[in-house]
Amino acid sequence: MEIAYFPGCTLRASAIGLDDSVRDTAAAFGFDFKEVPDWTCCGATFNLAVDNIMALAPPIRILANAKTVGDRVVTVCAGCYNVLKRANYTVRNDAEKRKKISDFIEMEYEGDVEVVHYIEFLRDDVGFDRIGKELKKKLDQVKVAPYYGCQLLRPEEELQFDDAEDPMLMDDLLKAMGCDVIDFPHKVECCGAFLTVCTDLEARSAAKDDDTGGAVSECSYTILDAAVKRGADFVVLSCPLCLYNLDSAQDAIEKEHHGFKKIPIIYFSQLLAVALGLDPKKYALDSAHHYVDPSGVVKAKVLS
Amino acid sequence: MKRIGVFICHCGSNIAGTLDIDRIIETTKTFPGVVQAEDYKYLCSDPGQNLVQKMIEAHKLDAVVISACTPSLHEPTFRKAAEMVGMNPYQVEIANIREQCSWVHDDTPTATDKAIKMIRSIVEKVRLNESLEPITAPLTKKALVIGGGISGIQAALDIANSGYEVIVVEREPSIGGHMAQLSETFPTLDCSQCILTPKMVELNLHPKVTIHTYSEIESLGGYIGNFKVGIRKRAKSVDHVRCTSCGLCYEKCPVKRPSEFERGLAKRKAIYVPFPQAIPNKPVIDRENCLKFTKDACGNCEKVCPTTAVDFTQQDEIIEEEVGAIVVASGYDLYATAELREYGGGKVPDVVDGLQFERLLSASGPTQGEILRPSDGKVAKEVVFVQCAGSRDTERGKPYCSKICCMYTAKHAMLYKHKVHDGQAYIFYIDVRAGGKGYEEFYQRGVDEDGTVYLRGKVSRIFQDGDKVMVWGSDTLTGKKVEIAADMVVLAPATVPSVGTEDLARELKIQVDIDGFLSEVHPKLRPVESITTGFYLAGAGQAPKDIPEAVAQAGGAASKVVALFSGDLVHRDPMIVGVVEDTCSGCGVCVGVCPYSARELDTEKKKVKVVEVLCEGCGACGAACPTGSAQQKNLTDAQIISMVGASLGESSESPDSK
Repeated sequence: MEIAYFPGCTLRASAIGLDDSVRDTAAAFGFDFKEVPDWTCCGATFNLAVDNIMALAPPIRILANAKTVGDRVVTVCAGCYNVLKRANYTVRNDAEKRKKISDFIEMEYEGDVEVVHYIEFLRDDVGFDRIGKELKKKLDQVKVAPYYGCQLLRPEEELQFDDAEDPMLMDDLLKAMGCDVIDFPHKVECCGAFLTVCTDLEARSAAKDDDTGGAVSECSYTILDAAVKRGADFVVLSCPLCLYNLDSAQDAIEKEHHGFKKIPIIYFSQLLAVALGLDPKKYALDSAHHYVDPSGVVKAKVLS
Repeated sequence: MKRIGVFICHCGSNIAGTLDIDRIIETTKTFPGVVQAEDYKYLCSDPGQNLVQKMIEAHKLDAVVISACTPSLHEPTFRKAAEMVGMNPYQVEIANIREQCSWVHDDTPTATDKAIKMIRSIVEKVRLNESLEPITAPLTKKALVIGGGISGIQAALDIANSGYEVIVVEREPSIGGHMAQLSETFPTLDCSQCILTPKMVELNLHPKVTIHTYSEIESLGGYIGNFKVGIRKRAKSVDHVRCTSCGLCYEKCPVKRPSEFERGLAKRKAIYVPFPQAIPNKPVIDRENCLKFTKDACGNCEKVCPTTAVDFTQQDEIIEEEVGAIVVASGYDLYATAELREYGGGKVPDVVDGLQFERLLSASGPTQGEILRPSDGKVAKEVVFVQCAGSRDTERGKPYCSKICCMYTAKHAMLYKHKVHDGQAYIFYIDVRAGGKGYEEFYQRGVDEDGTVYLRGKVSRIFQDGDKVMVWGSDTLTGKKVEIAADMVVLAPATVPSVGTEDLARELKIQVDIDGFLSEVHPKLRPVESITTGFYLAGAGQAPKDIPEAVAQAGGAASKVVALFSGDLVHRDPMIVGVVEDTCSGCGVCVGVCPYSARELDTEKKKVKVVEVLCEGCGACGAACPTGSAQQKNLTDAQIISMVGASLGESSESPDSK
């Protein structure tokens, strides 16, 4: 059974560990992911200008290409999921825009491909029960803080991923994996998002309210500190931008907030891959791919 | 040919502001049969009605078309006016050119075209109208009140004190409703028990009143003046005649369940009286949790009862009653806080709802009025109140304002401060809506004298943080984020129609609005009557309202019932569906579809006959009849066809009736 898979650009660069772990875990469960042919960048943010419909061309082209593989496309980057799903929603609900874009990309697309997040795929196609049974590592000593951010959830009506204020889907997956999942009230707090590209890392360390960079590290600090205080070993997520913000801001936070304890940030699928007994070295759980090196905690808590 | 008069109302500028009245008059005058067309600024006023009456007499009119607002508003007004000058009221029809035309269009030429067609079609209808006489029926001068909260109690007392018998049906084991749970009441701070329980006693002792608690409406048939109601008296498992209220049974009962009356903050037994002042003050057995019923064990209550009142074999009993009018006082509930997940509802033990806080404040509550938080029983020193928890929220809650929360929250903060002198109350609000006698002053007193801190903004998240309850919100007046580490949080959830209102409404065949509240005929002019005649509305089942308003509405509903009972007959609309005997084949299809059992098949004559008083004129039989023999009076197939023709701009071809 072939299922279309859209990795997105970040997953072929900084988030390579996310890409590899998704492909390998899907394969481990017996699913054959086929990359969407001729894929491009999704646009990275959903176009909010009503009249700039050309920004919808890339995601809709991706969906049209996905249709050559099957009626579903699995994606995992929260940003890609948001863009593809909202573009799909627009196509389904706005005939005028649909026609304009179809004319422009010279491809017919009616919105008939389902955009599925990999966590949804794990729930519906693999089954959380089955995941629990096939684990090779016990994760009951691993305390995790599930972090959703915004792109997976909002706007709620268009994405229909989970309750936007109190999502539980990743919690449920991690529980099925046997993790000790903390009740994490900061799970949907903003990480600072694209404010991070407003300024450089030095400016961010200023950590002042009147500076956008400072805003990012302060947002991250609030989230990370809450996770650390609740005893989490990892913050677990599915968004490369969230990971970058939460991970890279920790040096600056450490300088600004005395006594702050660093915490590694990893993707849920990396943890899943390791728990399934796949080779941990293959999934970028190292200092080359993280500001806060997760390998020590992985070794101590997961592999021991 | 019938002589028809057409009258166009300006309705101030409601109609005349959009429609071209002069053109309507001119065109209308050319319609066949129309001998007079007049317009007036306010046709429903005294001079307006006089104009209609004068024209009827001067031009010897046979029928009248009033082109104005919806017939649900003023059809009775104009029919009565016409009747006073000798015209049969059923020769008056309304063309609704306000709600269905001027209010919903803004282009004058096309809207005027539409209004002309609408009037034309009503002219065609009235041309074929018959003169009808109302159907009369006898009247049972006994009322049913559904719901034994403050509204139901007040309505029942007012009707009973006017000399009529009243039956009160209450679902819970005691009357009293939510008001019995309240501590003290705004804006006077008199204790709820002190003003409610005397009324409960008065109702219980009233010679004209019969109360059925632990009972529900099983079935309902009939019509205004002549309802037949089936009441299911659920098995109490205790013979209330023998029971002396000694209380030994619940002392010895080993089962502990969360008390509904205490909103889960205390336990009750499986055999229980919901609260000490309950009426009747005699226990019932909760069979779902009683060991005798679940495991055939225990039986303590039966063993200790000195009067052998405990009766495990008791069965539900269904009694039939005949009543002439029904007051629906089905009340409200609070939106379940478990639905408000971002507010920790159902997850954080020290997040409670408004009614739970009432129980904490109450001297007879689980803490004897001390403000102890549920998790560890410590005195709460900082309390955050969150208003509009689920109200005024189109995305995640209810769109409407729940109305009572601003005032009860102001009261909560004030009473809290009276009990915990070194405590601090914070209130997050959107607006403080303190409209009501003495309300604004009450709210100000809380701010000035009791130091209640009001923060204008919404709360985004509430969660457990160590032994504190963390509240994140915004203060939109300073533009700052606010974080309060509180000991306790009190949500003011949206008020919603009480559980089961929808099922009850379906059983009674009365209407509810989009939010599930009971619908009134007219929001301003007929606020206590249901759209279905014979039903009257009281209390928060119709819309969120506080005690004074609920009591006032109950009085209004009672006066409508008493007015109905002051006559000896009920008059029913004669626009029923008859039978054209010549064409009726006696197939009986209409008998099956009639929801009111108004149609019967005469097997000898092979014809259907109609029990006129039962027919509601719904028209279901008319749609079902294969031979067109079920014709609604003054809405016959011939009339509808000619109305459709007029709407489509065809010239009149229909034959004259008289």
